[in-house]
Amino acid sequence: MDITLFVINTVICAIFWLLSRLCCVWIGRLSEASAGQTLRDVEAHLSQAPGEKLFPWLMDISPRPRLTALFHYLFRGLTSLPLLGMVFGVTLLFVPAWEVYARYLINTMFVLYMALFVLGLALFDPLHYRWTGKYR
Amino acid sequence: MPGEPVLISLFVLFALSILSDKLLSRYLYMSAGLKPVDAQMYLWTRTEDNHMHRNRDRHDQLWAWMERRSGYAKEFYTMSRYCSLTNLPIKLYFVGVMVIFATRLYQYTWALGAAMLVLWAIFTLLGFRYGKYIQAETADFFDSSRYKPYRPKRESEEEEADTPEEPYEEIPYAGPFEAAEPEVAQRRRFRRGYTQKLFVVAVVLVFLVLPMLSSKFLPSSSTPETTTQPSEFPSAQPTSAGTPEAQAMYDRLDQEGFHPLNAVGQLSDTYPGIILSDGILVEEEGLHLEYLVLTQESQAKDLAQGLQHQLYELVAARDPDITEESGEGYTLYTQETEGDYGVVVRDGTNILYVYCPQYDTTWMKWFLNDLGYLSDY
Repeated sequence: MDITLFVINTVICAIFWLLSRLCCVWIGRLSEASAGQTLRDVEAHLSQAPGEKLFPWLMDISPRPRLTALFHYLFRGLTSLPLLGMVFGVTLLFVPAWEVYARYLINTMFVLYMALFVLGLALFDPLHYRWTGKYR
Repeated sequence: MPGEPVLISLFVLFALSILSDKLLSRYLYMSAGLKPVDAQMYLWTRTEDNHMHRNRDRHDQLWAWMERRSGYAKEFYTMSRYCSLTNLPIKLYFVGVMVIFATRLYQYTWALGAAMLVLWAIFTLLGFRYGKYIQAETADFFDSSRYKPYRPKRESEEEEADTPEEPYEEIPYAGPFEAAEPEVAQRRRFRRGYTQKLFVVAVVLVFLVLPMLSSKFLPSSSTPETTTQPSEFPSAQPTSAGTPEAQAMYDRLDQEGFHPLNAVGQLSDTYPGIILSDGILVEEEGLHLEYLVLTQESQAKDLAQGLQHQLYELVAARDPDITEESGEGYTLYTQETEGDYGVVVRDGTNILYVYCPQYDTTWMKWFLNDLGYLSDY
Protein backbone atom coordinates (compact mmCIF):
# COMPACT_ATOMS: atom_id res chain seq x y z
CA MET A 1 0.00 0.00 0.00
CA ASP A 2 1.49 3.29 -1.13
CA ILE A 3 0.35 6.22 0.94
CA THR A 4 2.22 8.91 -1.02
CA LEU A 5 -0.65 9.58 -3.42
CA PHE A 6 -3.13 9.63 -0.56
CA VAL A 7 -1.07 12.14 1.44
CA ILE A 8 -0.47 14.42 -1.55
CA ASN A 9 -4.16 14.36 -2.46
CA THR A 10 -5.20 15.10 1.11
CA VAL A 11 -2.81 18.05 1.43
CA ILE A 12 -3.91 19.53 -1.91
CA CYS A 13 -7.58 19.11 -1.02
CA ALA A 14 -7.01 20.73 2.39
CA ILE A 15 -5.47 23.76 0.68
CA PHE A 16 -8.41 23.84 -1.73
CA TRP A 17 -10.81 23.67 1.19
CA LEU A 18 -9.38 26.90 2.59
CA LEU A 19 -9.27 28.43 -0.89
CA SER A 20 -12.90 27.48 -1.55
CA ARG A 21 -14.07 29.47 1.50
CA LEU A 22 -12.13 32.48 0.28
CA CYS A 23 -13.45 32.28 -3.27
CA CYS A 24 -17.08 31.46 -2.41
CA VAL A 25 -17.61 33.70 0.61
CA TRP A 26 -19.53 36.10 -1.64
CA ILE A 27 -22.09 33.35 -2.39
CA GLY A 28 -22.67 32.89 1.34
CA ARG A 29 -23.09 36.63 1.74
CA LEU A 30 -25.49 36.76 -1.22
CA SER A 31 -27.63 34.23 0.66
CA GLU A 32 -27.88 36.79 3.48
CA ALA A 33 -28.32 39.68 1.06
CA SER A 34 -31.18 37.92 -0.74
CA ALA A 35 -32.92 37.90 2.65
CA GLY A 36 -32.38 41.67 2.77
CA GLN A 37 -29.70 41.44 5.45
CA THR A 38 -26.28 43.06 5.31
CA LEU A 39 -23.31 41.65 7.21
CA ARG A 40 -23.92 44.23 9.93
CA ASP A 41 -27.57 43.19 10.28
CA VAL A 42 -26.55 39.54 10.59
CA GLU A 43 -23.90 40.34 13.18
CA ALA A 44 -26.38 42.47 15.13
CA HIS A 45 -28.92 39.65 15.07
CA LEU A 46 -26.38 37.06 16.16
CA SER A 47 -25.25 39.23 19.06
CA GLN A 48 -28.87 39.52 20.18
CA ALA A 49 -29.66 35.84 19.81
CA PRO A 50 -26.38 34.00 20.35
CA GLY A 51 -26.39 30.35 19.32
CA GLU A 52 -29.35 30.68 17.00
CA LYS A 53 -29.02 28.92 13.64
CA LEU A 54 -28.62 31.52 10.92
CA PHE A 55 -30.17 29.72 7.97
CA PRO A 56 -33.69 29.06 9.42
CA TRP A 57 -33.85 32.68 10.56
CA LEU A 58 -32.84 33.91 7.09
CA MET A 59 -35.47 31.66 5.50
CA ASP A 60 -38.12 33.05 7.87
CA ILE A 61 -37.48 36.67 7.06
CA SER A 62 -36.42 36.32 3.43
CA PRO A 63 -38.68 37.87 0.79
CA ARG A 64 -36.92 35.52 -1.71
CA PRO A 65 -36.61 32.24 0.19
CA ARG A 66 -35.79 30.21 -2.92
CA LEU A 67 -32.81 32.38 -3.76
CA THR A 68 -31.70 32.40 -0.13
CA ALA A 69 -31.81 28.60 -0.04
CA LEU A 70 -30.14 28.33 -3.45
CA PHE A 71 -27.16 30.49 -2.45
CA HIS A 72 -26.92 28.81 0.95
CA TYR A 73 -26.74 25.29 -0.49
CA LEU A 74 -24.53 26.45 -3.34
CA PHE A 75 -22.06 27.77 -0.80
CA ARG A 76 -22.29 24.57 1.22
CA GLY A 77 -21.86 22.37 -1.85
CA LEU A 78 -18.96 24.29 -3.35
CA THR A 79 -17.04 24.37 -0.10
CA SER A 80 -17.65 20.65 0.45
CA LEU A 81 -16.11 19.67 -2.87
CA PRO A 82 -12.54 19.51 -1.50
CA LEU A 83 -13.80 17.39 1.41
CA LEU A 84 -15.26 14.97 -1.13
CA GLY A 85 -11.85 14.94 -2.79
CA MET A 86 -10.29 13.99 0.53
CA VAL A 87 -12.75 11.12 0.96
CA PHE A 88 -12.08 9.98 -2.59
CA GLY A 89 -8.36 10.09 -1.76
CA VAL A 90 -8.84 7.08 0.52
CA THR A 91 -9.47 4.93 -2.56
CA LEU A 92 -6.00 5.86 -3.86
CA LEU A 93 -4.56 3.68 -1.09
CA PHE A 94 -6.15 0.66 -2.76
CA VAL A 95 -6.46 1.67 -6.42
CA PRO A 96 -3.51 3.95 -7.30
CA ALA A 97 -4.62 4.04 -10.94
CA TRP A 98 -7.55 6.25 -9.90
CA GLU A 99 -5.04 9.02 -9.41
CA VAL A 100 -6.11 10.33 -12.83
CA TYR A 101 -9.62 10.99 -11.49
CA ALA A 102 -8.22 12.71 -8.39
CA ARG A 103 -6.08 14.89 -10.59
CA TYR A 104 -9.06 15.65 -12.78
CA LEU A 105 -11.07 16.69 -9.71
CA ILE A 106 -8.25 18.92 -8.46
CA ASN A 107 -7.85 20.60 -11.85
CA THR A 108 -11.61 21.14 -12.05
CA MET A 109 -11.70 22.62 -8.55
CA PHE A 110 -8.84 25.00 -9.34
CA VAL A 111 -10.53 26.36 -12.47
CA LEU A 112 -13.90 26.49 -10.71
CA TYR A 113 -12.70 28.45 -7.69
CA MET A 114 -10.68 30.89 -9.74
CA ALA A 115 -13.68 31.49 -12.02
CA LEU A 116 -15.97 31.93 -8.99
CA PHE A 117 -13.60 34.44 -7.42
CA VAL A 118 -13.61 36.58 -10.57
CA LEU A 119 -17.37 36.17 -10.94
CA GLY A 120 -17.80 37.33 -7.34
CA LEU A 121 -15.86 40.52 -8.06
CA ALA A 122 -18.26 41.39 -10.85
CA LEU A 123 -21.56 40.16 -9.38
CA PHE A 124 -21.53 40.67 -5.64
CA ASP A 125 -21.72 44.46 -5.32
CA PRO A 126 -24.66 45.11 -7.68
CA LEU A 127 -26.70 42.17 -6.40
CA HIS A 128 -26.04 43.09 -2.79
CA TYR A 129 -27.24 46.63 -3.45
CA ARG A 130 -30.28 45.41 -5.35
CA TRP A 131 -31.46 43.16 -2.53
CA THR A 132 -30.45 45.13 0.57
CA GLY A 133 -30.67 48.69 -0.78
CA LYS A 134 -27.34 49.35 0.93
CA TYR A 135 -23.88 49.64 -0.53
CA ARG A 136 -22.16 47.47 2.06
CA MET B 1 11.19 38.71 -29.16
CA PRO B 2 11.55 42.47 -28.99
CA GLY B 3 12.53 42.96 -25.35
CA GLU B 4 14.25 46.26 -25.87
CA PRO B 5 11.29 48.40 -27.04
CA VAL B 6 9.12 46.91 -24.32
CA LEU B 7 11.60 47.66 -21.56
CA ILE B 8 12.28 51.18 -22.82
CA SER B 9 8.54 51.94 -23.17
CA LEU B 10 7.79 50.49 -19.75
CA PHE B 11 10.57 52.52 -18.16
CA VAL B 12 9.44 55.74 -19.83
CA LEU B 13 5.76 55.18 -18.97
CA PHE B 14 6.66 54.23 -15.40
CA ALA B 15 8.74 57.38 -14.95
CA LEU B 16 5.96 59.50 -16.46
CA SER B 17 3.35 57.89 -14.23
CA ILE B 18 5.37 58.72 -11.13
CA LEU B 19 5.89 62.26 -12.38
CA SER B 20 2.21 62.92 -13.13
CA ASP B 21 1.23 61.28 -9.85
CA LYS B 22 3.50 63.62 -7.92
CA LEU B 23 2.27 66.66 -9.82
CA LEU B 24 -1.45 65.89 -9.73
CA SER B 25 -1.60 64.60 -6.15
CA ARG B 26 -0.96 68.20 -5.07
CA TYR B 27 -4.38 69.13 -6.48
CA LEU B 28 -5.95 66.05 -4.94
CA TYR B 29 -4.73 67.17 -1.50
CA MET B 30 -6.14 70.62 -2.26
CA SER B 31 -9.57 69.19 -3.03
CA ALA B 32 -9.51 67.50 0.40
CA GLY B 33 -8.49 70.76 2.09
CA LEU B 34 -4.90 69.67 2.61
CA LYS B 35 -1.48 70.89 1.68
CA PRO B 36 1.15 68.33 0.59
CA VAL B 37 2.93 68.86 3.88
CA ASP B 38 -0.21 67.75 5.77
CA ALA B 39 -0.43 64.53 3.79
CA GLN B 40 3.26 63.87 4.34
CA MET B 41 2.89 64.44 8.05
CA TYR B 42 -0.12 62.14 8.18
CA LEU B 43 1.85 59.40 6.40
CA TRP B 44 4.76 59.99 8.73
CA THR B 45 2.61 59.56 11.83
CA ARG B 46 1.19 56.36 10.32
CA THR B 47 4.76 55.12 9.88
CA GLU B 48 5.52 55.75 13.51
CA ASP B 49 2.32 54.11 14.66
CA ASN B 50 2.46 51.05 12.44
CA HIS B 51 5.18 49.00 10.87
CA MET B 52 7.24 50.62 8.17
CA HIS B 53 6.78 47.84 5.65
CA ARG B 54 3.02 48.19 5.54
CA ASN B 55 3.26 50.97 3.00
CA ARG B 56 0.08 49.99 1.19
CA ASP B 57 -1.91 50.20 4.43
CA ARG B 58 -0.58 53.67 5.12
CA HIS B 59 -1.69 54.90 1.72
CA ASP B 60 -5.09 53.27 2.15
CA GLN B 61 -5.42 55.02 5.48
CA LEU B 62 -4.40 58.31 3.89
CA TRP B 63 -6.98 57.77 1.17
CA ALA B 64 -9.78 57.00 3.63
CA TRP B 65 -8.79 60.00 5.74
CA MET B 66 -8.79 62.32 2.72
CA GLU B 67 -12.18 60.98 1.66
CA ARG B 68 -13.65 61.77 5.07
CA ARG B 69 -11.92 65.13 5.24
CA SER B 70 -13.16 66.19 1.81
CA GLY B 71 -16.68 65.31 2.94
CA TYR B 72 -16.90 62.83 0.04
CA ALA B 73 -17.03 65.85 -2.26
CA LYS B 74 -17.61 65.43 -5.97
CA GLU B 75 -14.50 67.46 -6.83
CA PHE B 76 -12.30 65.17 -4.74
CA TYR B 77 -13.51 62.07 -6.58
CA THR B 78 -13.18 63.73 -10.00
CA MET B 79 -9.61 64.73 -9.22
CA SER B 80 -8.80 61.24 -7.94
CA ARG B 81 -10.17 59.85 -11.18
CA TYR B 82 -7.71 61.98 -13.17
CA CYS B 83 -4.89 60.81 -10.91
CA SER B 84 -5.75 57.16 -11.56
CA LEU B 85 -6.23 57.81 -15.28
CA THR B 86 -2.61 58.95 -15.61
CA ASN B 87 -1.56 55.54 -14.23
CA LEU B 88 -3.85 53.72 -16.64
CA PRO B 89 -1.56 53.85 -19.76
CA ILE B 90 1.21 51.81 -18.10
CA LYS B 91 -1.31 49.19 -16.96
CA LEU B 92 -2.82 49.05 -20.44
CA TYR B 93 0.66 48.79 -21.92
CA PHE B 94 1.37 45.73 -19.72
CA VAL B 95 -1.80 44.05 -20.94
CA GLY B 96 -1.15 45.14 -24.53
CA VAL B 97 2.38 43.69 -24.44
CA MET B 98 0.96 40.36 -23.28
CA VAL B 99 -1.49 40.43 -26.20
CA ILE B 100 1.36 41.29 -28.60
CA PHE B 101 3.48 38.41 -27.31
CA ALA B 102 0.56 36.02 -27.59
CA THR B 103 -0.27 37.05 -31.14
CA ARG B 104 3.38 37.63 -32.13
CA LEU B 105 2.53 40.99 -33.70
CA TYR B 106 5.85 42.35 -32.49
CA GLN B 107 5.90 45.10 -35.08
CA TYR B 108 3.26 46.99 -33.05
CA THR B 109 5.33 47.18 -29.83
CA TRP B 110 6.61 50.69 -30.51
CA ALA B 111 3.24 51.85 -31.85
CA LEU B 112 1.53 50.66 -28.67
CA GLY B 113 4.13 52.45 -26.54
CA ALA B 114 3.61 55.65 -28.52
CA ALA B 115 -0.19 55.35 -28.26
CA MET B 116 0.06 54.93 -24.49
CA LEU B 117 2.36 57.94 -24.32
CA VAL B 118 -0.22 60.04 -26.16
CA LEU B 119 -2.93 58.71 -23.86
CA TRP B 120 -0.83 59.62 -20.83
CA ALA B 121 -0.26 63.13 -22.21
CA ILE B 122 -4.01 63.64 -22.78
CA PHE B 123 -4.98 62.41 -19.30
CA THR B 124 -2.26 64.46 -17.64
CA LEU B 125 -3.31 67.61 -19.49
CA LEU B 126 -6.95 67.05 -18.56
CA GLY B 127 -5.85 66.43 -14.97
CA PHE B 128 -3.89 69.66 -14.95
CA ARG B 129 -6.84 71.56 -16.36
CA TYR B 130 -9.08 70.27 -13.59
CA GLY B 131 -6.31 70.79 -11.05
CA LYS B 132 -6.05 74.45 -12.03
CA TYR B 133 -9.82 74.76 -11.55
CA ILE B 134 -9.49 73.29 -8.05
CA GLN B 135 -6.59 75.60 -7.31
CA ALA B 136 -8.67 78.61 -8.34
CA GLU B 137 -11.67 77.45 -6.32
CA THR B 138 -9.65 76.74 -3.17
CA ALA B 139 -7.42 79.84 -3.31
CA ASP B 140 -9.40 81.60 -0.58
CA PHE B 141 -9.87 78.45 1.50
CA PHE B 142 -6.21 78.04 2.43
CA ASP B 143 -5.99 81.67 3.57
CA SER B 144 -9.14 81.48 5.66
CA SER B 145 -9.69 80.02 9.10
CA ARG B 146 -11.57 77.07 7.55
CA TYR B 147 -8.25 75.49 6.64
CA LYS B 148 -7.09 73.32 9.52
CA PRO B 149 -3.54 72.06 9.09
CA TYR B 150 -3.00 68.48 10.20
CA ARG B 151 -1.61 68.17 13.68
CA PRO B 152 -1.01 64.67 14.95
CA LYS B 153 -3.29 63.93 17.89
CA ARG B 154 -2.30 62.16 21.00
CA GLU B 155 -2.71 58.40 20.86
CA SER B 156 -5.85 58.25 23.01
CA GLU B 157 -7.61 60.90 20.94
CA GLU B 158 -6.59 59.38 17.65
CA GLU B 159 -7.91 55.93 18.46
CA GLU B 160 -11.33 57.41 19.00
CA ALA B 161 -11.23 59.40 15.79
CA ASP B 162 -9.82 56.67 13.57
CA THR B 163 -12.14 53.85 14.37
CA PRO B 164 -15.62 55.27 14.29
CA GLU B 165 -18.45 52.78 14.56
CA GLU B 166 -20.35 54.31 11.68
CA PRO B 167 -17.98 55.88 9.17
CA TYR B 168 -20.71 57.87 7.46
CA GLU B 169 -22.21 59.45 10.53
CA GLU B 170 -19.19 60.96 12.15
CA ILE B 171 -17.28 62.69 9.39
CA PRO B 172 -14.34 64.89 10.38
CA TYR B 173 -15.18 67.10 7.43
CA ALA B 174 -12.78 69.96 6.79
CA GLY B 175 -12.69 70.30 3.02
CA PRO B 176 -13.08 73.33 0.78
CA PHE B 177 -15.97 71.86 -1.23
CA GLU B 178 -19.52 71.11 -0.23
CA ALA B 179 -19.83 67.81 1.64
CA ALA B 180 -21.98 65.13 0.04
CA GLU B 181 -25.11 63.68 1.61
CA PRO B 182 -24.39 60.36 3.36
CA GLU B 183 -26.32 58.43 0.67
CA VAL B 184 -24.39 60.18 -2.15
CA ALA B 185 -21.10 59.66 -0.29
CA GLN B 186 -21.80 55.93 -0.02
CA ARG B 187 -22.65 55.74 -3.71
CA ARG B 188 -19.39 57.48 -4.64
CA ARG B 189 -17.34 55.11 -2.47
CA PHE B 190 -19.23 52.16 -3.93
CA ARG B 191 -18.67 53.26 -7.51
CA ARG B 192 -14.95 53.68 -6.99
CA GLY B 193 -14.58 50.27 -5.36
CA TYR B 194 -16.71 48.54 -7.97
CA THR B 195 -14.80 50.16 -10.86
CA GLN B 196 -11.56 48.79 -9.43
CA LYS B 197 -13.09 45.32 -9.20
CA LEU B 198 -14.35 45.51 -12.78
CA PHE B 199 -10.87 46.51 -13.96
CA VAL B 200 -9.47 43.37 -12.32
CA VAL B 201 -12.17 41.27 -14.00
CA ALA B 202 -11.39 42.87 -17.39
CA VAL B 203 -7.67 42.10 -17.02
CA VAL B 204 -8.44 38.49 -16.05
CA LEU B 205 -10.71 38.15 -19.09
CA VAL B 206 -7.98 39.49 -21.38
CA PHE B 207 -5.60 36.84 -20.04
CA LEU B 208 -8.24 34.17 -20.62
CA VAL B 209 -8.76 35.33 -24.19
CA LEU B 210 -4.99 35.38 -24.85
CA PRO B 211 -4.62 31.63 -25.51
CA MET B 212 -7.52 31.85 -27.95
CA LEU B 213 -5.87 34.80 -29.67
CA SER B 214 -2.55 33.00 -29.87
CA SER B 215 -4.15 29.86 -31.31
CA LYS B 216 -5.89 32.04 -33.89
CA PHE B 217 -2.78 33.92 -34.90
CA LEU B 218 -0.09 31.27 -34.47
CA PRO B 219 -0.91 29.01 -37.44
CA SER B 220 -0.35 31.90 -39.80
CA SER B 221 2.86 32.81 -38.04
CA SER B 222 4.12 29.22 -37.94
CA THR B 223 5.01 29.47 -41.61
CA PRO B 224 7.76 32.02 -41.01
CA GLU B 225 8.90 29.86 -38.12
CA THR B 226 9.32 26.91 -40.47
CA THR B 227 11.14 29.02 -42.99
CA THR B 228 13.49 30.30 -40.33
CA GLN B 229 14.58 26.72 -39.68
CA PRO B 230 17.06 26.68 -42.59
CA SER B 231 19.15 29.28 -40.82
CA GLU B 232 20.06 26.62 -38.28
CA PHE B 233 21.07 24.21 -41.02
CA PRO B 234 22.66 26.18 -43.85
CA SER B 235 22.28 23.33 -46.33
CA ALA B 236 18.52 22.97 -45.79
CA GLN B 237 16.51 24.99 -48.30
CA PRO B 238 12.74 25.16 -48.62
CA THR B 239 13.07 24.75 -52.36
CA SER B 240 12.47 21.78 -54.59
CA ALA B 241 14.98 18.95 -54.50
CA GLY B 242 17.53 17.98 -57.14
CA THR B 243 17.03 14.33 -58.15
CA PRO B 244 13.83 13.34 -60.00
CA GLU B 245 12.71 10.89 -57.24
CA ALA B 246 13.22 13.49 -54.55
CA GLN B 247 11.55 16.11 -56.74
CA ALA B 248 8.51 13.85 -57.14
CA MET B 249 8.34 13.19 -53.39
CA TYR B 250 8.82 16.90 -52.69
CA ASP B 251 5.90 17.84 -54.96
CA ARG B 252 3.77 15.06 -53.49
CA LEU B 253 4.34 16.22 -49.91
CA ASP B 254 3.85 19.84 -50.88
CA GLN B 255 0.56 18.89 -52.51
CA GLU B 256 -0.51 17.18 -49.25
CA GLY B 257 -0.07 20.47 -47.43
CA PHE B 258 3.30 19.84 -45.78
CA HIS B 259 6.30 22.14 -45.85
CA PRO B 260 9.08 19.80 -46.99
CA LEU B 261 12.68 20.91 -46.72
CA ASN B 262 15.56 19.93 -48.91
CA ALA B 263 17.85 18.92 -46.07
CA VAL B 264 20.70 16.90 -47.58
CA GLY B 265 23.24 18.58 -45.33
CA GLN B 266 21.31 17.99 -42.15
CA LEU B 267 20.51 14.39 -43.04
CA SER B 268 24.14 13.73 -44.02
CA ASP B 269 25.09 14.90 -40.53
CA THR B 270 22.44 12.56 -39.05
CA TYR B 271 23.82 9.55 -40.96
CA PRO B 272 27.58 9.96 -41.06
CA GLY B 273 29.29 7.69 -43.58
CA ILE B 274 26.22 7.41 -45.81
CA ILE B 275 26.55 9.11 -49.18
CA LEU B 276 23.31 10.96 -49.95
CA SER B 277 22.57 12.48 -53.31
CA ASP B 278 19.35 14.02 -52.00
CA GLY B 279 17.28 14.24 -48.85
CA ILE B 280 13.89 15.64 -47.86
CA LEU B 281 12.76 16.32 -44.32
CA VAL B 282 9.32 17.05 -42.91
CA GLU B 283 8.84 17.74 -39.22
CA GLU B 284 5.32 18.91 -38.47
CA GLU B 285 2.93 18.33 -35.56
CA GLY B 286 4.65 15.20 -34.30
CA LEU B 287 5.19 13.73 -37.76
CA HIS B 288 8.80 13.04 -38.72
CA LEU B 289 9.40 12.09 -42.34
CA GLU B 290 12.72 11.55 -44.10
CA TYR B 291 13.15 10.71 -47.78
CA LEU B 292 16.73 9.71 -48.49
CA VAL B 293 18.19 9.20 -51.96
CA LEU B 294 21.40 7.17 -51.68
CA THR B 295 23.98 6.28 -54.30
CA GLN B 296 24.79 2.69 -53.28
CA GLU B 297 22.20 -0.05 -52.84
CA SER B 298 24.27 -1.90 -50.24
CA GLN B 299 24.38 1.23 -48.08
CA ALA B 300 20.63 1.68 -48.59
CA LYS B 301 19.97 -1.90 -47.42
CA ASP B 302 22.13 -1.45 -44.31
CA LEU B 303 20.58 1.89 -43.46
CA ALA B 304 17.02 0.56 -43.93
CA GLN B 305 17.86 -2.37 -41.64
CA GLY B 306 19.32 0.02 -39.07
CA LEU B 307 16.31 2.33 -39.14
CA GLN B 308 13.95 -0.62 -38.88
CA HIS B 309 15.84 -1.90 -35.85
CA GLN B 310 15.89 1.58 -34.33
CA LEU B 311 12.10 1.93 -34.76
CA TYR B 312 11.44 -1.49 -33.26
CA GLU B 313 13.61 -0.75 -30.23
CA LEU B 314 11.40 2.27 -29.46
CA VAL B 315 8.22 0.23 -29.08
CA ALA B 316 9.46 -3.34 -28.45
CA ALA B 317 7.97 -3.32 -24.95
CA ARG B 318 4.53 -2.26 -26.23
CA ASP B 319 3.89 -5.28 -28.41
CA PRO B 320 3.74 -3.57 -31.83
CA ASP B 321 1.66 -4.82 -34.74
CA ILE B 322 4.26 -5.37 -37.46
CA THR B 323 3.67 -5.59 -41.21
CA GLU B 324 6.44 -6.61 -43.61
CA GLU B 325 6.04 -6.63 -47.34
CA SER B 326 8.27 -6.83 -50.38
CA GLY B 327 7.43 -6.11 -53.99
CA GLU B 328 9.10 -4.97 -57.19
CA GLY B 329 12.44 -3.77 -55.92
CA TYR B 330 11.09 -2.51 -52.63
CA THR B 331 10.79 -3.73 -49.05
CA LEU B 332 8.33 -2.29 -46.56
CA TYR B 333 8.28 -2.47 -42.79
CA THR B 334 5.56 -0.86 -40.63
CA GLN B 335 4.89 -1.07 -36.95
CA GLU B 336 1.68 0.06 -35.27
CA THR B 337 1.15 0.55 -31.54
CA GLU B 338 -1.46 2.35 -29.47
CA GLY B 339 0.58 5.53 -29.44
CA ASP B 340 2.33 5.78 -32.79
CA TYR B 341 3.10 4.45 -36.24
CA GLY B 342 6.51 3.82 -37.84
CA VAL B 343 7.45 3.09 -41.45
CA VAL B 344 10.65 2.15 -43.28
CA VAL B 345 10.42 1.64 -47.03
CA ARG B 346 13.46 0.93 -49.16
CA ASP B 347 12.89 1.21 -52.88
CA GLY B 348 16.17 0.53 -54.63
CA THR B 349 18.50 3.20 -53.33
CA ASN B 350 15.69 5.35 -51.90
CA ILE B 351 14.50 5.16 -48.31
CA LEU B 352 11.30 6.56 -46.82
CA TYR B 353 11.46 6.71 -43.04
CA VAL B 354 8.41 7.96 -41.13
CA TYR B 355 7.57 8.18 -37.45
CA CYS B 356 4.20 9.71 -36.59
CA PRO B 357 1.58 9.86 -33.82
CA GLN B 358 -1.34 7.43 -33.80
CA TYR B 359 -3.83 9.92 -35.23
CA ASP B 360 -1.80 10.10 -38.46
CA THR B 361 -1.83 6.30 -38.91
CA THR B 362 -4.80 6.07 -41.27
CA TRP B 363 -3.57 8.90 -43.43
CA MET B 364 -0.07 7.43 -43.51
CA LYS B 365 -1.37 4.00 -44.61
CA TRP B 366 -3.35 5.64 -47.40
CA PHE B 367 -0.28 7.66 -48.41
CA LEU B 368 1.91 4.52 -48.58
CA ASN B 369 -0.75 2.73 -50.60
CA ASP B 370 -0.98 5.70 -52.92
CA LEU B 371 2.77 5.63 -53.46
CA GLY B 372 2.45 2.00 -54.55
CA TYR B 373 3.44 0.26 -51.31
CA LEU B 374 1.36 -1.41 -48.56
CA SER B 375 -0.88 -3.45 -50.85
CA ASP B 376 -3.19 -4.80 -48.09
CA TYR B 377 -4.38 -1.35 -47.06
